[in-house]
Amino acid sequence: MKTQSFRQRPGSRGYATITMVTSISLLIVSLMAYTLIGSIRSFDNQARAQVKQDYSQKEDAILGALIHIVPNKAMGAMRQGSASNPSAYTWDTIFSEALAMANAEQAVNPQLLNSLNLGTAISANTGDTEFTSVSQFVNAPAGTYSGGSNRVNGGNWWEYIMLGDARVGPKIPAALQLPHSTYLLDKQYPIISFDKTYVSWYTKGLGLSADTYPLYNLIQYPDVKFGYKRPGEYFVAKRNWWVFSLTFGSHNQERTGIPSVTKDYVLSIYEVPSQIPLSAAALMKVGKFADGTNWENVSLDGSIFADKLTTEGTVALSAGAISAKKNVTVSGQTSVSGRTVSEGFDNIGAREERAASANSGANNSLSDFYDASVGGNVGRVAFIQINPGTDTFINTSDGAASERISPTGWNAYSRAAPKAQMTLEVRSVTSSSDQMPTSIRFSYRNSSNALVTTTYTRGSNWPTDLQTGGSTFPFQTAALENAKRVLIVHMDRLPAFIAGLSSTGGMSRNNSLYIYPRTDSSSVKIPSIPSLTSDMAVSLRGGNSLTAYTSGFSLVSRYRVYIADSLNNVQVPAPANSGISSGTTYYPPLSIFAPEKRFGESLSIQSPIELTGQLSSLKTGSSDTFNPLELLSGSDARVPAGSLNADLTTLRSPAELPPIHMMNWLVTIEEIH
Amino acid sequence: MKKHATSGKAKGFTLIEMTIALGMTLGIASTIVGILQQQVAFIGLVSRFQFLRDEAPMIDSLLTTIINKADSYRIYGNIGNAKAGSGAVQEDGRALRLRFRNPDGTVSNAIISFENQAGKNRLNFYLQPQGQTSWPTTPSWTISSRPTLVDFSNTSGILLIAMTGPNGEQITYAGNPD
Repeated sequence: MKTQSFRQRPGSRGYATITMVTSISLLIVSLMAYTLIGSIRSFDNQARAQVKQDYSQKEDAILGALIHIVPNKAMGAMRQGSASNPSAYTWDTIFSEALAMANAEQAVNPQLLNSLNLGTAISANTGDTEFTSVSQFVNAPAGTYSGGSNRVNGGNWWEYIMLGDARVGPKIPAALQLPHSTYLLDKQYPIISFDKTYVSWYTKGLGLSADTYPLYNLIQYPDVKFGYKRPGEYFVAKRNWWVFSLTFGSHNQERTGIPSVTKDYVLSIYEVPSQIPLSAAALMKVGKFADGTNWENVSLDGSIFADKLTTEGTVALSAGAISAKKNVTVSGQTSVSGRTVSEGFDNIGAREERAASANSGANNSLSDFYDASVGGNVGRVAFIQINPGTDTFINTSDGAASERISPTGWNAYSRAAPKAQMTLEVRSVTSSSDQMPTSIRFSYRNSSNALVTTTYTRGSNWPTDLQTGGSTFPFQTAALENAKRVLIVHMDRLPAFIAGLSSTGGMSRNNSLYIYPRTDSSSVKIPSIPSLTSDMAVSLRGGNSLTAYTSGFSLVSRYRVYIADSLNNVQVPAPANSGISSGTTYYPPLSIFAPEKRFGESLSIQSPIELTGQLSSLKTGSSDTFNPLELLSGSDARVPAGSLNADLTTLRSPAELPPIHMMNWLVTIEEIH
Repeated sequence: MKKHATSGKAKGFTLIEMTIALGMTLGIASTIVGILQQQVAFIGLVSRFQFLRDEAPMIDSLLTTIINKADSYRIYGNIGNAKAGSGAVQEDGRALRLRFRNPDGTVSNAIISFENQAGKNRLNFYLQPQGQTSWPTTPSWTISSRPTLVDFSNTSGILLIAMTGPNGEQITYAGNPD
């Protein structure tokens, strides 16, 4: 039997197989490598994109924190004692705290990261930063006049290097002037001070002459979604600003491979005197009286603002906007310039959708502003009411200038009483049960702006109306129908009286009066709020014409104030260069700071009331309700709706600003593009 | 009878051995072909998602950066309307007009527009610098030429940008200016 066997041919050693297997293996390995490289590249791209977004979020968190920290530091630097701990108010501290505040929200504990072997990872959490120094991410965009490293360039004339800088110079607002000593402070701290004023060298955006109106001028309301005023509308304010550069990513650029980007920002604190028809730092109800009666004969020609705002019945603003710090509750008949504002206007998504559907996109007019807004829901904006409540009636010292950082003290800035140029102290009264004044101490400013004080005493140098000289003396006393003792201020006698005083500073300087009780007497009582029957009060008489009050007049008193008869009822020509058209209605500016006002003295007669101007409240807190037209007569009864005619308007010019006024701060951060 | 001499070592393979060897070869070959097919299919899959994987994150990063800097935006059906600033829409938008406001109140504008230029789809960026009223006729730069469709919309209060890639893949970005 023949068998066949397969033999290996000589020289055939399987090279073809090896080649084939190797080729196929290489092909597969190549394909896998291609896929792997692609995946790595993809991860790298996504990581880069994520890190960039991470930087952006971290920047947002810090900017959001700055909005709240800077005004508080500025206030702190004005307070007595701040000079003893100056490091707490520096820009370095401010940025450090902003970083810490951002960290506090979302940061991951480094120990936790280490436990997960992620200690070297670049965290995408908003607050997680690796900065060891503020200088790693924030710096002044330009050098400074006095050299040295700085976090910010202040918006003042000493920063001429920054003002002329090609990158930021053309896009910044008007610079302010200030003394060199204040400039040196402003480099280190956010300084708010009366020392900062507009100057004719820098007038960009100013509506009026900086020489005529250096402290507050007309400037355009910024295009922010919070509507104390409407964007672009001129309003009375002073803008303090500082510019700084934020740079993220430079400190770990070697690790990320992502080039760092520097962005320039302007942080502004607008000092905004109260100037809209109605404003309050409390819950304000407009449209109806407290008993549910509708308002009548009331026109609102401008904005209304409150901590919380409720509109009831029909509320129609012919101009301006509706805004509140916390929330707005609107009735179905609320409108602004004829446009209905409905409940739910500020719901999440509603405002963005409304903005996107606003079909008015002419060049440069793509504003997302709406007729109503709530402060807490709009981006990088904060609105702060400077309202000390009833403390505004107390003249508290800020101590020596050396005890604080800012040249301007907080009490002098925020309270009404310290601002008054004339003071009248009730030194003695008939008895503790009869608060009829028998002695007063009056102070006025002389031509050197120094206070000159004289004490007037009944029976000595303070004549009654019936005594010689008494009929021209501006301060008298009386008992009202309700037996209340009042100190009468004869507004018609005061200008001549001031003019006749030794070395007088005149009415332009002596434009405000603070009436207060002495505090170290057992018989002179500090009036309660609300006023007791036994408490003394103040009565304004003879104020029909205030034409002699060339720079307006302000009265500040903790006492109840009776407006006995017509007050400021005679028009005068508007000041030249005030921005107010000649021939339009203009009255000397007047403000009254008192816890209670009564319109009329009589218990039986209620004269009609014509009210023109602005109404603000010293009430604070959301539980404190302010019904602005709940006006009371001399009999403590509410002025009937039919007897009240209110024409509530907005300030048109700083010329309409009374000597003493309430203040607000608007804080914004804007990027320089 | 003649005997075939036999050696101590086998000089060849039996049929059974050959059958087994061929079988194994076929199995290995099939496996290799399968792996190859799998690799080719996987690479194809990866390539189809290249837009989402490589391009989209970069577009996202650019758009996020640009839109975050803006103060406000409007959506338009085409770049003509966007330049004119008229006819804003809330959906089916092909152009997004952005406004950048400076601290002194001056404004510059920009448009991100999806458009067909010379037969090629592009996502372009147009910048109208501060103080100018006319728009450039050619894009300032092209963000990407990979998407086949970019749709801007805002029907829920949030800006949505839906992009379709070359292979029909889609990705949607959501966000609003700060």
